[in-house]
Amino acid sequence: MMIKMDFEKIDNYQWKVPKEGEMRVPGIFFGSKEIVEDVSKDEKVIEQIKNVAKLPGIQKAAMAMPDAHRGYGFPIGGVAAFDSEQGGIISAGAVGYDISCGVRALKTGLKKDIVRENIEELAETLYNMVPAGLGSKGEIKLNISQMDEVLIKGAEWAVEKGYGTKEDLEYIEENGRMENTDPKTVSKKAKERQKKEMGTLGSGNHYLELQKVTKIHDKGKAKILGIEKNDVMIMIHCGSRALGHQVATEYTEKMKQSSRKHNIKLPDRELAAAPINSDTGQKYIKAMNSAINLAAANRQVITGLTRRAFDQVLPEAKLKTMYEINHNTCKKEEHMLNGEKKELYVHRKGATRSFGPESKILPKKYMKIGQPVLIGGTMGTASYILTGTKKAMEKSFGSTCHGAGRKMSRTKAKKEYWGQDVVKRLKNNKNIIIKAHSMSGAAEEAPGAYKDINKVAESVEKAGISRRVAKVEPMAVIKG
Amino acid sequence: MNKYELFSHPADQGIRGYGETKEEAFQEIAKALQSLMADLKKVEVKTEDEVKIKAIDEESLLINWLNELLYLFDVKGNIYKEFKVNIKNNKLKAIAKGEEYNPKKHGSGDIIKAITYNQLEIKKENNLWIVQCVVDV
Repeated sequence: MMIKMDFEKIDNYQWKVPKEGEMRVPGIFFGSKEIVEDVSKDEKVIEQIKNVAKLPGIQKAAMAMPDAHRGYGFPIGGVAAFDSEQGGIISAGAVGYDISCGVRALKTGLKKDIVRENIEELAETLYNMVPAGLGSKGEIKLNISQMDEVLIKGAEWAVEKGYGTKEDLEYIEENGRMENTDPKTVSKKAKERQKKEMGTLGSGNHYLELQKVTKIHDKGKAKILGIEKNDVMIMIHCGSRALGHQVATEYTEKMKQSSRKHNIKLPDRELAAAPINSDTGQKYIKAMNSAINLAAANRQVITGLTRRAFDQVLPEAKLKTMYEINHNTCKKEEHMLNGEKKELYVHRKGATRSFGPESKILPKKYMKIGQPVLIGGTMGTASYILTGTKKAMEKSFGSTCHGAGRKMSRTKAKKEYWGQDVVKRLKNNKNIIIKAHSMSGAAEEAPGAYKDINKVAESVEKAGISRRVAKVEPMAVIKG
Repeated sequence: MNKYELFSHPADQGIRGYGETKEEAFQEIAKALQSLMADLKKVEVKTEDEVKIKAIDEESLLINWLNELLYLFDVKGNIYKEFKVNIKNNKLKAIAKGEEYNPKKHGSGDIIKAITYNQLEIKKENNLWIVQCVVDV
């Protein structure tokens, strides 16, 4: 197949959708020719990028990462930056319904052989101790004022409650605590929905995964991250649970009204937005930051539960946070634009921050290597640890991909696969243990329903927006 | 015969309800939503809840109606299989009947994160109301 006429080649890994009609900036797709051809098979993705490019105050380009697929107005795998001084907007849809969905990576200090010997018991213990799936409840019940404390303090709150260490906090974006929050901007309904859900994993594509490091791409950086081949790691993938979903839903409604009030011409009703400098815009930012804090607290509690499970089965393990990233956010950041330092609001929907070395957002230990980037694969395929680059700062507002990206609908996956069968095959063929609460969920998440993550990881490296450090592969997966 | 169905979306899930009236279509799409979460054949009617919402337009009304069921699930733990909906001037009143969700009895489906405007339609074709949207899983 030829690459679509919509694209102009910038280089082998950047493809431009030229400005047309009401587009204020061009669109840019990152990835190899093969990947961009594949991504753009769904014309909706190109249409969505063109629509994002029409929004007020957008800077440079509307961008799609190699794992992009169609989303809600804004594509998943999309990046867009807005300048508040040029009438820039913020959009709840462009952050996503699962605010601050993200990944925490833990080092265990163990090698794969010892874990392999205990894998059944470990998987079973984790499955029993980390609540997951529809209707699951956490061990902490919060009243409204306790919830407000979580929204202000983030992961720090969970550490105070005994679910982690101060050292964990050093290795979370913004140390797990966003400033500029206000619990009053989060509705009572959102807080009520969250009461029993602290420390729960959720369902869908969320998981807790035990992994072995199977390949080191960059020895120097791996050493700084403290990982070697055959090490066992854990990745926890989840977000802001019901509270975040409710915040996103309510502010999408408010932004629908705000768009009308401020005469923002919406190319798609799902891109409902508010000017950054408006009451709704400012309230959403505070509510979103509160939800980011809740998500960090949630992953911190799960980290604590994971440590408890290891203490029971393999007490010699020393679980340390390597890093935690968000991939559904809008963050206020400084970027260089046409030689000028600018403060921009960068939406990343299914995209990960990948700031290069020497960025002031980095923990001291990682100053020389750039921000760690964690991209999650499926329960049967690899995940990658990468680091951010200077080039990403120039090309993509310091952003890269977030995962493999779906290629098959959930409906089709359920017809194509049978959950029990997927689980059995992963065990027999790949020696991967799957503990899933929902078998239809296991079918929906079958590895065959996703794109090839190896090609996505290779593409972001060749595009220069992040660099591979290590490849990890699943040993056991806990799913909702 | 079911008057609701699921339809494909590349990453998430579409839900659709049909009815002779708009109200019936709103009832049916609610069943489609609940069917993603549990096996409705196994849900019994043991309790009921009242829902009252208003919205700025019809589309928002649909979003708020379905989102209210997600709220009730999280707060009360209930899953519903029968609905009686009344709509007037972008106000909706409903009775939802079902019971407390129990994964052992009802099976464990998906957590629905949100009801979205994606492919949202409320229309009447040949005397049949069709109401649909995509939900974020």
